[in-house]
Amino acid sequence: MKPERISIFNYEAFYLDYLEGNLGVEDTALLLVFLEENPELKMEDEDLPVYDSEDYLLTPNEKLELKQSDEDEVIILENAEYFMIAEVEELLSEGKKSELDDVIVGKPELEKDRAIFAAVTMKPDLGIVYSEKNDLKRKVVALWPYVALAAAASVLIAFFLLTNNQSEKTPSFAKETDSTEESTDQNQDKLEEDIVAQQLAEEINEPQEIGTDKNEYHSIPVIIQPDPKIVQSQRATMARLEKRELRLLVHTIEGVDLEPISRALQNVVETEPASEGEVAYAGFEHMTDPIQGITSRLNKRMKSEVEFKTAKATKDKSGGFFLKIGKFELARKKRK
Amino acid sequence: MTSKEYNLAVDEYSDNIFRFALKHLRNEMSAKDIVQETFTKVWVKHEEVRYEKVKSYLFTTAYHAIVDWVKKEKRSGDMQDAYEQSSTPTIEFSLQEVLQSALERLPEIQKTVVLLRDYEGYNYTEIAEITDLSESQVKVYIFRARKALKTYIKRLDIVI
Repeated sequence: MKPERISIFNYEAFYLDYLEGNLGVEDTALLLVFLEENPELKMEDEDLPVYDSEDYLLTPNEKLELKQSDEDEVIILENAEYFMIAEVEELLSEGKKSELDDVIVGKPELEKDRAIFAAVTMKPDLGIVYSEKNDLKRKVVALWPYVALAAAASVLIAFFLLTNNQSEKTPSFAKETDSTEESTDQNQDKLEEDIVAQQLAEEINEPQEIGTDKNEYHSIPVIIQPDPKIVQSQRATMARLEKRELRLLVHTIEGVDLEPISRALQNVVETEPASEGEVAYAGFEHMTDPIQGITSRLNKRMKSEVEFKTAKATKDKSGGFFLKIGKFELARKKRK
Repeated sequence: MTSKEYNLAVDEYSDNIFRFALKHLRNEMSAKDIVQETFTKVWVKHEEVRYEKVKSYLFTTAYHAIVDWVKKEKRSGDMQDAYEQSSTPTIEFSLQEVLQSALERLPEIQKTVVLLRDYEGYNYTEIAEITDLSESQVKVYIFRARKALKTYIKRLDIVI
């Protein structure tokens, strides 16, 4: 059995087309037959509200507002307002301005409108300010001084640990050296005894020939070897003696400042105007040592000079850091 | 944009953003909240934003924050009521005061474009970027706003 074209399941679509006048003749006939057979589906007029488009028409002025005016079009009374605003917005050419003048002249109402448009530009009240600016700001942290300080401290600590290990490996030598240096005064008091010991050592060191003068009975000379313990003791005594002689020599020169040679050289450098590249230390004199305890201890432990200085940059002086370990120097300068 | 530049932007533009928000919300506390929110959002993106573009970025962020604030608080209706209530004649002493009063009667979007145009001197393209409108739409809103302001002033018969 062939299915019916209009049924209970699709009649709405046909009905709508029928009401809007879009249904064909054949389908209209079929729909009317269908509605006759199903009168309960037939709709009354109140069931189908039809909106009258006449109630929703825009006024000519509303339409005019929607239109896009063209700056090139001829200025007439109807579009004069648009060109007045365009003038305020600085969109008008000189030609169009004079054209607008011509349209407006002699029309007080338009002249007044033009004056009002020129005046309706908003000006900010500069007295209104946001008072909590500082709460919005983010703190700027300069990391480089801390990084430099940390790097310098790491280097110093590494040197410190290294030298400490070395001293632990050779304790007797280190202790002997330290005790010798610290008790200079006592050693000087024993200077005469050492000289005597040296003379004694010289005598011991010389090979003894027996029978050369008194013992004439033996024709072949016999060499007697010295005791090794005595030789070792004598060498140590000799080394100490050489050091003390040097020290005595320096003391005999009047007016000589007994500061380390490196420091004496440094003083020379500081008095001369040196370029930045030539002497790294120049310009760091005003800086201070924040880890003085470590550097002074390193100075004692190591035989070379250890120095570390740092300072913040100011308007007058440069900042940065200066690190010196013996001949090794590392420096960084920063100006404000 | 560096932290330094961000702080510079605070000095340069926080007043402008505050005035912009205050004109829309007419509530000092809410305007301050908008400023806070705006700068917080810009700080989150500060590495991606160039300093030369930060003003536009700030106003875009502030504009969206204001729109969200109005939606969230469902204040637009209340504001409209407030306009209606305050539309009773008041004694206004200067043209700028009258204009401020007229500005508050404009629809939000017209108010926004006029403020960006007059207060900040933005061109149509920049306003379009900030407000997500087309240049043509911006132009239409500015023209309508100017016309509405003129009508308001003309109605009060103020001598210019």
